[in-house]
Amino acid sequence: MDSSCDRAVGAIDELGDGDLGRVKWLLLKRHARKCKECAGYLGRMETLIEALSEFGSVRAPEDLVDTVMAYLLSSVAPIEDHLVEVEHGRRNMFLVVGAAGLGVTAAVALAIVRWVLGRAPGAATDGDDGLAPIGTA
Amino acid sequence: MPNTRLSRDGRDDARLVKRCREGDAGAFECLVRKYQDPVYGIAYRMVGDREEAKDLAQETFINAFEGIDTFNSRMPFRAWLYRIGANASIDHLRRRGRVRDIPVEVAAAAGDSYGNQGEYGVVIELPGPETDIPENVSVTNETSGLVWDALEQLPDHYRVAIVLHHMEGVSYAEIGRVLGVPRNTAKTWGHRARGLLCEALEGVV
Repeated sequence: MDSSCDRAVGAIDELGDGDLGRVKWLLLKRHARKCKECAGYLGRMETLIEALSEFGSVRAPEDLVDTVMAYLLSSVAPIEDHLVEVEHGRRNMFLVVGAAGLGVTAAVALAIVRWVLGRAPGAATDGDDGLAPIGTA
Repeated sequence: MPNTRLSRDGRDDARLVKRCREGDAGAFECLVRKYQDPVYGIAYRMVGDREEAKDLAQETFINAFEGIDTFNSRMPFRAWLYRIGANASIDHLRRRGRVRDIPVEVAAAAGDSYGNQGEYGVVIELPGPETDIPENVSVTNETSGLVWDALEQLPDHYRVAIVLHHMEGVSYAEIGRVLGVPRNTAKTWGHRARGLLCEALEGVV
Protein backbone atom coordinates (compact mmCIF):
# COMPACT_ATOMS: atom_id res chain seq x y z
CA MET A 1 0.00 0.00 0.00
CA ASP A 2 1.64 3.27 -1.10
CA SER A 3 0.82 6.93 -0.63
CA SER A 4 -1.58 6.89 -3.56
CA CYS A 5 -3.48 4.13 -1.73
CA ASP A 6 -3.58 6.33 1.39
CA ARG A 7 -5.08 9.12 -0.70
CA ALA A 8 -7.53 6.66 -2.22
CA VAL A 9 -8.66 5.45 1.21
CA GLY A 10 -9.12 9.07 2.30
CA ALA A 11 -11.17 9.69 -0.85
CA ILE A 12 -13.28 6.60 -0.15
CA ASP A 13 -13.98 7.92 3.37
CA GLU A 14 -15.01 11.26 1.82
CA LEU A 15 -17.26 9.32 -0.55
CA GLY A 16 -18.90 7.75 2.50
CA ASP A 17 -19.43 11.20 3.99
CA GLY A 18 -20.96 12.42 0.74
CA ASP A 19 -18.19 15.03 0.42
CA LEU A 20 -16.17 13.66 -2.50
CA GLY A 21 -15.77 16.10 -5.39
CA ARG A 22 -15.87 15.12 -9.04
CA VAL A 23 -12.14 15.50 -9.65
CA LYS A 24 -11.19 13.37 -6.64
CA TRP A 25 -13.74 10.81 -7.75
CA LEU A 26 -12.14 10.54 -11.19
CA LEU A 27 -8.68 10.20 -9.62
CA LEU A 28 -10.02 7.53 -7.29
CA LYS A 29 -11.54 5.59 -10.19
CA ARG A 30 -8.25 5.77 -12.07
CA HIS A 31 -6.36 4.47 -9.04
CA ALA A 32 -8.91 1.71 -8.42
CA ARG A 33 -8.36 0.39 -11.96
CA LYS A 34 -4.72 -0.28 -11.05
CA CYS A 35 -5.11 -1.31 -7.39
CA LYS A 36 -7.18 -4.38 -6.63
CA GLU A 37 -7.22 -3.76 -2.87
CA CYS A 38 -8.54 -0.21 -3.15
CA ALA A 39 -10.99 -1.32 -5.84
CA GLY A 40 -12.37 -3.88 -3.37
CA TYR A 41 -12.73 -1.31 -0.62
CA LEU A 42 -14.37 1.13 -3.02
CA GLY A 43 -16.81 -1.53 -4.16
CA ARG A 44 -17.78 -2.38 -0.58
CA MET A 45 -18.20 1.29 0.31
CA GLU A 46 -20.43 1.89 -2.73
CA THR A 47 -22.55 -1.12 -1.86
CA LEU A 48 -22.78 -0.03 1.77
CA ILE A 49 -23.83 3.53 0.89
CA GLU A 50 -26.42 2.21 -1.51
CA ALA A 51 -27.75 -0.27 1.07
CA LEU A 52 -28.00 2.42 3.74
CA SER A 53 -29.72 4.86 1.41
CA GLU A 54 -32.18 2.18 0.31
CA PHE A 55 -33.27 1.75 3.91
CA GLY A 56 -34.23 5.41 3.49
CA SER A 57 -36.77 7.39 5.44
CA VAL A 58 -39.69 5.85 7.26
CA ARG A 59 -43.14 7.30 7.72
CA ALA A 60 -44.51 7.52 11.23
CA PRO A 61 -47.82 5.74 11.91
CA GLU A 62 -50.77 7.96 11.04
CA ASP A 63 -52.09 8.00 14.59
CA LEU A 64 -48.81 8.99 16.26
CA VAL A 65 -49.62 12.70 16.57
CA ASP A 66 -53.13 12.04 17.91
CA THR A 67 -51.85 9.48 20.39
CA VAL A 68 -49.14 11.81 21.71
CA MET A 69 -51.45 14.81 21.96
CA ALA A 70 -54.24 12.80 23.59
CA TYR A 71 -51.81 11.57 26.22
CA LEU A 72 -50.40 15.01 26.84
CA LEU A 73 -53.79 16.71 27.05
CA SER A 74 -55.11 14.08 29.44
CA SER A 75 -52.07 14.44 31.67
CA VAL A 76 -52.01 18.22 31.40
CA ALA A 77 -55.66 18.66 32.48
CA PRO A 78 -55.05 17.55 36.10
CA ILE A 79 -52.07 19.89 36.19
CA GLU A 80 -54.32 22.75 35.12
CA ASP A 81 -56.85 21.76 37.78
CA HIS A 82 -54.06 21.75 40.31
CA LEU A 83 -53.00 25.21 39.20
CA VAL A 84 -56.58 26.44 39.63
CA GLU A 85 -56.63 25.00 43.16
CA VAL A 86 -53.35 26.67 43.95
CA GLU A 87 -54.74 29.95 42.62
CA HIS A 88 -57.86 29.63 44.80
CA GLY A 89 -55.69 28.81 47.80
CA ARG A 90 -53.60 31.89 47.15
CA ARG A 91 -56.72 34.05 46.91
CA ASN A 92 -58.10 32.68 50.18
CA MET A 93 -54.76 33.25 51.87
CA PHE A 94 -54.79 36.83 50.61
CA LEU A 95 -58.27 37.41 52.08
CA VAL A 96 -57.29 35.95 55.46
CA VAL A 97 -54.10 37.99 55.64
CA GLY A 98 -55.99 41.10 54.52
CA ALA A 99 -58.69 40.62 57.13
CA ALA A 100 -56.11 40.02 59.85
CA GLY A 101 -54.21 43.13 58.82
CA LEU A 102 -57.40 45.15 58.87
CA GLY A 103 -58.22 43.88 62.38
CA VAL A 104 -54.77 44.74 63.70
CA THR A 105 -54.96 48.21 62.15
CA ALA A 106 -58.38 48.83 63.69
CA ALA A 107 -57.15 47.67 67.12
CA VAL A 108 -54.09 49.93 66.92
CA ALA A 109 -56.23 52.88 65.80
CA LEU A 110 -58.64 52.29 68.66
CA ALA A 111 -55.80 52.11 71.14
CA ILE A 112 -54.37 55.39 69.84
CA VAL A 113 -57.75 57.08 70.08
CA ARG A 114 -58.17 55.86 73.61
CA TRP A 115 -54.67 57.03 74.48
CA VAL A 116 -55.25 60.46 72.95
CA LEU A 117 -58.61 60.87 74.69
CA GLY A 118 -57.04 59.73 77.95
CA ARG A 119 -54.47 62.58 77.78
CA ALA A 120 -57.03 65.27 76.93
CA PRO A 121 -57.64 68.03 79.64
CA GLY A 122 -60.51 67.13 81.91
CA ALA A 123 -60.33 63.54 80.91
CA ALA A 124 -60.57 60.87 83.47
CA THR A 125 -57.30 59.80 85.09
CA ASP A 126 -55.95 56.27 85.02
CA GLY A 127 -58.29 53.92 86.71
CA ASP A 128 -61.10 56.46 86.45
CA ASP A 129 -63.37 55.81 83.56
CA GLY A 130 -65.13 59.14 84.07
CA LEU A 131 -68.24 57.57 85.42
CA ALA A 132 -69.40 58.37 88.92
CA PRO A 133 -69.55 55.42 91.29
CA ILE A 134 -72.96 53.97 91.65
CA GLY A 135 -74.88 55.52 94.40
CA THR A 136 -72.71 58.70 94.67
CA ALA A 137 -74.62 60.92 92.31
CA MET B 1 -35.88 35.76 22.24
CA PRO B 2 -34.87 33.27 19.55
CA ASN B 3 -31.16 33.14 18.71
CA THR B 4 -30.29 34.80 15.40
CA ARG B 5 -27.52 32.24 14.77
CA LEU B 6 -30.14 29.56 14.31
CA SER B 7 -31.36 28.77 10.83
CA ARG B 8 -34.76 30.10 9.81
CA ASP B 9 -36.18 26.68 10.52
CA GLY B 10 -34.51 26.67 13.91
CA ARG B 11 -35.95 30.10 14.71
CA ASP B 12 -39.42 28.89 13.74
CA ASP B 13 -38.96 25.98 16.14
CA ALA B 14 -37.76 28.33 18.88
CA ARG B 15 -40.92 30.43 18.46
CA LEU B 16 -43.06 27.30 18.74
CA VAL B 17 -41.15 26.25 21.85
CA LYS B 18 -41.76 29.68 23.38
CA ARG B 19 -45.48 29.29 22.74
CA CYS B 20 -45.38 25.79 24.30
CA ARG B 21 -43.84 27.25 27.43
CA GLU B 22 -46.69 29.73 27.56
CA GLY B 23 -49.13 26.80 27.62
CA ASP B 24 -50.07 26.62 23.93
CA ALA B 25 -50.64 22.90 23.27
CA GLY B 26 -51.27 23.63 19.58
CA ALA B 27 -47.69 24.83 19.20
CA PHE B 28 -46.39 21.54 20.54
CA GLU B 29 -48.66 19.66 18.18
CA CYS B 30 -47.03 21.56 15.30
CA LEU B 31 -43.63 20.35 16.49
CA VAL B 32 -44.87 16.76 16.78
CA ARG B 33 -46.29 16.88 13.25
CA LYS B 34 -43.08 18.34 11.90
CA TYR B 35 -40.74 15.83 13.52
CA GLN B 36 -42.86 12.68 13.76
CA ASP B 37 -41.22 10.99 10.75
CA PRO B 38 -37.56 11.49 11.69
CA VAL B 39 -38.16 10.75 15.38
CA TYR B 40 -40.04 7.58 14.51
CA GLY B 41 -37.45 6.77 11.82
CA ILE B 42 -34.53 7.04 14.24
CA ALA B 43 -36.29 4.81 16.75
CA TYR B 44 -37.20 2.29 14.07
CA ARG B 45 -33.68 2.18 12.64
CA MET B 46 -32.29 1.72 16.12
CA VAL B 47 -34.65 -0.98 17.42
CA GLY B 48 -35.96 -2.54 14.19
CA ASP B 49 -39.52 -3.05 15.41
CA ARG B 50 -42.49 -0.88 14.44
CA GLU B 51 -44.48 -1.16 17.66
CA GLU B 52 -41.46 -0.52 19.84
CA ALA B 53 -40.44 2.36 17.59
CA LYS B 54 -43.91 3.88 17.96
CA ASP B 55 -43.70 3.59 21.74
CA LEU B 56 -40.25 5.16 21.69
CA ALA B 57 -41.40 8.00 19.45
CA GLN B 58 -44.27 8.71 21.86
CA GLU B 59 -41.89 8.56 24.79
CA THR B 60 -39.55 10.97 23.02
CA PHE B 61 -42.26 13.58 22.44
CA ILE B 62 -43.67 13.22 25.94
CA ASN B 63 -40.22 13.62 27.48
CA ALA B 64 -39.61 16.63 25.25
CA PHE B 65 -42.88 18.20 26.36
CA GLU B 66 -42.17 17.58 30.02
CA GLY B 67 -38.65 18.93 29.69
CA ILE B 68 -39.46 21.86 27.43
CA ASP B 69 -38.52 24.32 30.18
CA THR B 70 -35.00 22.88 30.28
CA PHE B 71 -34.49 23.30 26.53
CA ASN B 72 -31.81 25.87 25.72
CA SER B 73 -33.30 27.92 22.90
CA ARG B 74 -29.81 28.79 21.64
CA MET B 75 -29.40 25.24 20.38
CA PRO B 76 -31.53 23.82 17.56
CA PHE B 77 -34.70 22.16 18.83
CA ARG B 78 -34.22 19.40 16.27
CA ALA B 79 -30.85 18.34 17.73
CA TRP B 80 -32.29 18.43 21.26
CA LEU B 81 -35.26 16.31 20.20
CA TYR B 82 -33.08 13.80 18.33
CA ARG B 83 -30.87 13.51 21.40
CA ILE B 84 -33.90 12.59 23.51
CA GLY B 85 -34.96 10.10 20.84
CA ALA B 86 -31.51 8.55 20.44
CA ASN B 87 -31.10 8.20 24.22
CA ALA B 88 -34.54 6.61 24.52
CA SER B 89 -33.61 4.06 21.85
CA ILE B 90 -30.21 3.32 23.40
CA ASP B 91 -31.79 2.84 26.84
CA HIS B 92 -34.42 0.59 25.31
CA LEU B 93 -31.82 -1.54 23.54
CA ARG B 94 -29.83 -1.91 26.73
CA ARG B 95 -32.92 -3.00 28.63
CA ARG B 96 -33.84 -5.40 25.88
CA GLY B 97 -30.36 -6.86 25.51
CA ARG B 98 -30.03 -5.73 21.89
CA VAL B 99 -32.08 -8.53 20.39
CA ARG B 100 -34.15 -7.27 17.50
CA ASP B 101 -35.96 -8.37 14.39
CA ILE B 102 -34.74 -7.64 10.91
CA PRO B 103 -36.75 -4.64 9.67
CA VAL B 104 -39.47 -5.63 7.30
CA GLU B 105 -38.15 -3.73 4.31
CA VAL B 106 -34.92 -5.70 4.33
CA ALA B 107 -36.96 -8.66 3.18
CA ALA B 108 -38.77 -6.53 0.63
CA ALA B 109 -35.81 -4.36 -0.44
CA ALA B 110 -34.85 -6.28 -3.52
CA GLY B 111 -38.36 -6.15 -4.94
CA ASP B 112 -39.18 -2.51 -4.19
CA SER B 113 -38.73 0.20 -6.73
CA TYR B 114 -37.04 3.50 -5.94
CA GLY B 115 -39.15 6.41 -4.84
CA ASN B 116 -42.24 4.33 -4.28
CA GLN B 117 -43.97 3.66 -1.05
CA GLY B 118 -43.29 0.04 -0.38
CA GLU B 119 -45.04 -2.43 1.82
CA TYR B 120 -45.82 -1.27 5.38
CA GLY B 121 -45.64 2.35 4.26
CA VAL B 122 -41.86 2.32 3.89
CA VAL B 123 -40.62 5.03 1.57
CA ILE B 124 -37.41 4.23 -0.24
CA GLU B 125 -35.59 7.28 -1.48
CA LEU B 126 -32.70 7.68 -3.83
CA PRO B 127 -29.71 9.66 -2.64
CA GLY B 128 -29.66 13.22 -3.88
CA PRO B 129 -28.39 14.13 -7.35
CA GLU B 130 -24.95 15.03 -5.96
CA THR B 131 -24.37 11.39 -5.11
CA ASP B 132 -24.33 10.00 -8.60
CA ILE B 133 -21.08 8.33 -7.69
CA PRO B 134 -22.14 4.82 -6.75
CA GLU B 135 -22.67 3.46 -10.22
CA ASN B 136 -24.24 0.18 -11.20
CA VAL B 137 -24.47 -0.89 -7.61
CA SER B 138 -27.30 -3.22 -6.90
CA VAL B 139 -28.00 -4.23 -3.35
CA THR B 140 -29.34 -7.70 -2.96
CA ASN B 141 -31.57 -8.95 -0.23
CA GLU B 142 -28.61 -10.85 1.20
CA THR B 143 -26.44 -7.73 1.27
CA SER B 144 -29.18 -5.71 2.99
CA GLY B 145 -29.50 -8.40 5.61
CA LEU B 146 -25.74 -8.45 6.14
CA VAL B 147 -25.64 -4.68 6.55
CA TRP B 148 -28.45 -4.79 9.09
CA ASP B 149 -26.80 -7.57 11.03
CA ALA B 150 -23.55 -5.62 11.07
CA LEU B 151 -25.38 -2.42 12.04
CA GLU B 152 -26.86 -4.25 15.00
CA GLN B 153 -23.39 -5.18 16.21
CA LEU B 154 -22.10 -1.61 16.16
CA PRO B 155 -21.59 0.30 19.40
CA ASP B 156 -24.65 2.46 20.10
CA HIS B 157 -23.02 5.80 19.32
CA TYR B 158 -21.64 4.49 16.02
CA ARG B 159 -25.08 3.25 15.08
CA VAL B 160 -26.70 6.59 15.94
CA ALA B 161 -24.12 8.33 13.74
CA ILE B 162 -24.88 6.03 10.80
CA VAL B 163 -28.66 6.23 11.23
CA LEU B 164 -28.65 10.01 11.48
CA HIS B 165 -26.18 10.65 8.65
CA HIS B 166 -27.17 8.05 6.08
CA MET B 167 -30.85 7.56 6.80
CA GLU B 168 -32.00 10.92 8.11
CA GLY B 169 -29.53 13.14 6.24
CA VAL B 170 -28.21 14.90 9.35
CA SER B 171 -24.83 16.65 9.10
CA TYR B 172 -21.93 15.63 11.31
CA ALA B 173 -22.02 19.01 13.03
CA GLU B 174 -25.58 18.31 14.11
CA ILE B 175 -24.82 14.70 14.97
CA GLY B 176 -22.13 16.10 17.28
CA ARG B 177 -24.78 18.24 18.98
CA VAL B 178 -27.13 15.26 19.25
CA LEU B 179 -24.46 13.06 20.79
CA GLY B 180 -22.83 15.84 22.78
CA VAL B 181 -19.43 15.54 21.09
CA PRO B 182 -17.42 17.76 18.70
CA ARG B 183 -18.20 17.51 14.98
CA ASN B 184 -14.89 15.80 14.21
CA THR B 185 -15.56 13.12 16.82
CA ALA B 186 -18.95 12.43 15.27
CA LYS B 187 -17.29 12.25 11.86
CA THR B 188 -14.64 9.85 13.14
CA TRP B 189 -17.37 7.65 14.60
CA GLY B 190 -19.10 7.67 11.22
CA HIS B 191 -15.85 6.62 9.48
CA ARG B 192 -15.16 3.84 11.96
CA ALA B 193 -18.73 2.61 11.77
CA ARG B 194 -18.58 2.46 7.98
CA GLY B 195 -15.23 0.70 8.20
CA LEU B 196 -16.79 -1.98 10.41
CA LEU B 197 -19.79 -2.29 8.11
CA CYS B 198 -17.49 -2.62 5.09
CA GLU B 199 -15.61 -5.40 6.86
CA ALA B 200 -18.91 -7.24 7.17
CA LEU B 201 -19.24 -7.09 3.38
CA GLU B 202 -15.82 -8.60 2.71
CA GLY B 203 -16.14 -11.76 0.71
CA VAL B 204 -19.63 -10.78 -0.42
CA VAL B 205 -18.78 -7.73 -2.51
